[in-house]
Amino acid sequence: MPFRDIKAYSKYVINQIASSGLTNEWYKVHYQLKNRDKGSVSARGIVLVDGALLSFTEDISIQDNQIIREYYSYRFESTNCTFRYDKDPDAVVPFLHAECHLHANGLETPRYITHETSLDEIFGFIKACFYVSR
Amino acid sequence: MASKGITEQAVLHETADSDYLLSADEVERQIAEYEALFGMSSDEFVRLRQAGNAPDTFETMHWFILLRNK
Repeated sequence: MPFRDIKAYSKYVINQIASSGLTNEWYKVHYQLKNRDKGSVSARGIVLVDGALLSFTEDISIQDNQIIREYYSYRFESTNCTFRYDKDPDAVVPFLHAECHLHANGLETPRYITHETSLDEIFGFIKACFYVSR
Repeated sequence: MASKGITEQAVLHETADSDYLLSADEVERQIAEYEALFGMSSDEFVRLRQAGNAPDTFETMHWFILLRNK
């Protein structure tokens, strides 16, 4: 999906959260501008309808109207399941710390290797897995 | 701040950009919060990260991203 700038992408994120029916805490989403095409979008501790928490932080730039995610962390915490998807290119250590990885149940290790993902994909996954009846 | 629990359509119309843009003061406040939480300065944190020795948490990633975009 094309976005003209960071602000436009942040509005898209806010609307995805607001229209999900899973929370009324979309006001916790914020963006930070380094310049028009570089910044971050984040939210800390959005409470979902069952009390689970969604937090995310994305370091992003816009190139040719496309979102480039240089770093990210997407965390979901519920009473019986916690996971976090990270992208951290600075921390790569062969066999131990893949650039894109998953932490399960709050543990630092192991880091399960993943593909590069996005808030759209992770939020969609959360909805499909935990809130399918809503 | 817009009121809670409104529809997506209303969000589009009522969202004021300034409500969601982190001010420089708010960025500094969050950074100070992380410095207190982890008991180190941001400079020290960046050095630890470069050495591969920083804690690997959501909070440290958010801290790092805030610093990158100051």
